[in-house]
Amino acid sequence: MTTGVKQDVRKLEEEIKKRFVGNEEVVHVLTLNLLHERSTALVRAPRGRGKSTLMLLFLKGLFNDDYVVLSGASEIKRGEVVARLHIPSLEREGVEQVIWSAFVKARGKGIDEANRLNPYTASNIYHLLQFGEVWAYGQRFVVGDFVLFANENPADPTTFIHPPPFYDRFDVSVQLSSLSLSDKFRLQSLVEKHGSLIESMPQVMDFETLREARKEVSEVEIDVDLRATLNVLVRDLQVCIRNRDLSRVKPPALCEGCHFVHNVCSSVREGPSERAILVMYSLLKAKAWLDGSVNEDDIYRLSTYVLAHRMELVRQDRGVEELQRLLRRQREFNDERRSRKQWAILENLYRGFNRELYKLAGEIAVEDLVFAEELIRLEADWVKKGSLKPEETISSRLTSDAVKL
Amino acid sequence: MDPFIEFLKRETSRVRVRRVGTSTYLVEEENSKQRMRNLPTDFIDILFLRNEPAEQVIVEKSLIRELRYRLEELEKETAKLRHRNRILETLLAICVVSIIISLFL
Repeated sequence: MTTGVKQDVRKLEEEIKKRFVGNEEVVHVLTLNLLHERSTALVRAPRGRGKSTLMLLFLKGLFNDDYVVLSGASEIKRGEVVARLHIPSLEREGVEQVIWSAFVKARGKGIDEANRLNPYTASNIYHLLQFGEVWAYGQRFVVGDFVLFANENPADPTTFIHPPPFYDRFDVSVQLSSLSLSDKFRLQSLVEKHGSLIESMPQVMDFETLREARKEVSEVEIDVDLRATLNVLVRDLQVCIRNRDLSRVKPPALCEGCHFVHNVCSSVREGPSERAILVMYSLLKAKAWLDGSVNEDDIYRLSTYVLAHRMELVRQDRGVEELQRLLRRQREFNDERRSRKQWAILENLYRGFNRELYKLAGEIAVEDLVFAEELIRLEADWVKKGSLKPEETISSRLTSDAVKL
Repeated sequence: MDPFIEFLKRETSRVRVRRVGTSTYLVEEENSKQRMRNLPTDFIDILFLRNEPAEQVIVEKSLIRELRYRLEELEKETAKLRHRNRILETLLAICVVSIIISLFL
């Protein structure tokens, strides 16, 4: 049974790859992203790169024609996206009867040109994307599980600027690259063969089979080492001793005179949310289930798709390359952590206070904020027990840097 | 077990820890010195062993002083050699001129 479901998922990916030329890794990432509940994916590309085609190929492969696509346009109102009131019932009987939109009720959802969607209308679906339910006129509609694909062209002149929480709702964002010379030949042959690529796409599996696959994926266990690598990576991108999240001043101005100015944190204006951790965890499970293995390289490769739309970097103008550069730096820093054996030192300190180890840990903490945070948690207990004086603590040394602000 | 503690314990299991009395020693193993990537502090290896540098390189003050001293010494040596070169060029020019004159005499 397990093999059958897995084969269906592989078949879906194969059928899409037969019709969608190039961008193989993107198709694989989107397939992996399907394998957890309420999956949402954003496809970004300039005009004519196949954003809508890719979205429709996935929806057709899963739902045949039983899906709903919202075409992004500023005049789309709440009634079309979420719900409207049944006017005759209201006028004759004074009853607020809510008519839920087809988009809300459909298991397969698409948003074409999401950047053209009025941000006020888009905000109505935040709750749906997060919790699988919508509220309108004081009534709730539980959608449960679904699949949502959206696409946008960031360079479109009719673009609305959506707020970061909108993009944060998308599990992954993928960028489509233009086709190589040989791929262009392949595309021409495919169009000649199939006519309409979307019409030729068969329904490979139904939603119930996908849910079965999602259930199997959710039961996969990920090794604690990989979980640690993932959690440390996201924490490195979030952490800031000067509390960047609540500060009105952002890096690089915020980092002036900071002890950690050379760390990865100084290149991040807005760090990723905790959703990034959960999505990455689901993707790792999906990778282990579908491909049979997952390793540290996969974490860093998949991170690009999970973090790119969730973060604002100081050098945002450099695009995804800047994020990849930061990931490389973070990975080097992680290797340093291992060679310093700092986690072993922390584990020993967890078992009990040891002044020599604490001194060593203190030296490491002034170079590593993520480590410092964990050490500071232990310090409170040691101060209470009298093993350590408050003025000797790392927290007193590090927080003085933050107070200077 | 708390997954975080499990992670710490697993990291500890990879490190040899020796306890002598109240002191704890983390034993450095030969293999652990072989690292997959270069670290930001591997500056000497980058310079003298032609190793591939990391994205960011961190250099100690003392090393900067050492490098500056070496650069100054090299510049002095270059200036000295340039001066000698000029003298030799001048001598060569005089020799050439002398030979040409001697041919006509």
